[in-house]
Amino acid sequence: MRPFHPSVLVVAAPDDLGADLVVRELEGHQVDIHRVTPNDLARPGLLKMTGHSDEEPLRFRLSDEHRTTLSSSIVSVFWWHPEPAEGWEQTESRFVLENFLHGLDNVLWVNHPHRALTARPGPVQLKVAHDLGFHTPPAIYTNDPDEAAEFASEHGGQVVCKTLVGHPDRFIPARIVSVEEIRAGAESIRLAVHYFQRIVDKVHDIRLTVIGERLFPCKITAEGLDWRAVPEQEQRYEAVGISQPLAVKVGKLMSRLGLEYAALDFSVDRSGTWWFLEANPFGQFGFVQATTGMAISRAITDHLTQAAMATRVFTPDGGHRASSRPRC
Amino acid sequence: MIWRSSLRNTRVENSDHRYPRPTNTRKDATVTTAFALLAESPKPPTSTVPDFTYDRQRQVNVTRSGKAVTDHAAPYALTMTHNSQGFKKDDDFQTPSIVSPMLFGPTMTHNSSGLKQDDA
Repeated sequence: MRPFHPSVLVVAAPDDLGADLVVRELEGHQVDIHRVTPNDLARPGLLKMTGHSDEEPLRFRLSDEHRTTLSSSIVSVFWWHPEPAEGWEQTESRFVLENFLHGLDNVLWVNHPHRALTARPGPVQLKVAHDLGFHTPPAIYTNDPDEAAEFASEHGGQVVCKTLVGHPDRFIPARIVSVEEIRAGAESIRLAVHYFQRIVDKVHDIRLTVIGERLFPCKITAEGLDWRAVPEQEQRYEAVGISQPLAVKVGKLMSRLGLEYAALDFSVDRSGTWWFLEANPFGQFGFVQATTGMAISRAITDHLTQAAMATRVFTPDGGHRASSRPRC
Repeated sequence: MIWRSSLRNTRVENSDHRYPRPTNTRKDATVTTAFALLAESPKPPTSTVPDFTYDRQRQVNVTRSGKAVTDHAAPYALTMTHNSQGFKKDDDFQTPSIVSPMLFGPTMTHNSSGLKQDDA
């Protein structure tokens, strides 16, 4: 019987090119790679799964036309934008798989979806960053137009308005709104809690991709408030450095948020101050890598393999376990 | 136990809502909508990525010539930032909501369709 190889499980949508970048890099490592999309569990014959919950350790097996992975061989999971489940069959199947995955011991997640969920951008994340010493623009979350107008008045008559949850089928960028617009839109504001934030008088933005302890700061120069709304050909990307004190704070933030990976957004003002805007647990890195040449996917791959296996020992007859566990 | 009684009445009569039900506003074109302060971004330029398909054996997407799409990274930046509908990917955060929408049904045991919430 062939000894178990350490396996990296990639959970992603089939058409995700960011996952492609990581899989291509993983091919150069001595690990088995199994890329799955949970929805295939409800597409007959594409992805077979059998799991057991009994007196033995929790275990499962995933197999498709080309490969089989035993849960005991998984050292890390790259959880990266899997397709949303549709219908009862896919929802149930995905739930079972996720539950088994969450039951794995000594597996490194990039990122664990539960941690990512609680760490996602919002008032708590902003406060955590502030408490760690980041410069953060003050923000207010309200469905009271009078409160919103007062906040805008206190901050120069204009503030940024944005949402924390993306629209299900369109892209709604952040926008600068005036006190007058807020008053005119009072009826609309009463219909939902709105997120307003003081404007940063920025000269450029920074997308800082973090994986483990490695940082990839990218300067983004673009006209307008929200660079995501600017066509790529009208933006300039440049790999830049980051100060050691700020890097230390980033490390603390990642630790506090429980994340192995994040894409942090900063705006940099005329004095050179980096203003923290948010940390995206599943923020994209492919465009940064493509435009700057920074080897982010290689760093992710290193983390999924070297960091994940650093605490493990491999037995002569195959299989592995965390070295912290007693030998038996 | 007025509180429980109220809930039971809500369940049985289905008419004692403390809060007004949302009305169907779609028929009124002039009605105010939430987030009217914001505006939809125009779609990004057409991607230059050629047609590709997922190769299950190699576990990556390949072009018709059989080469991995990401082996040509630079020209394909758009697809790395946008999903297949052309929207920025940072926003499609595929995680379940902490707060079940069923939690606030007419009763704490049944949702608005009359189904047990444990099954929701």
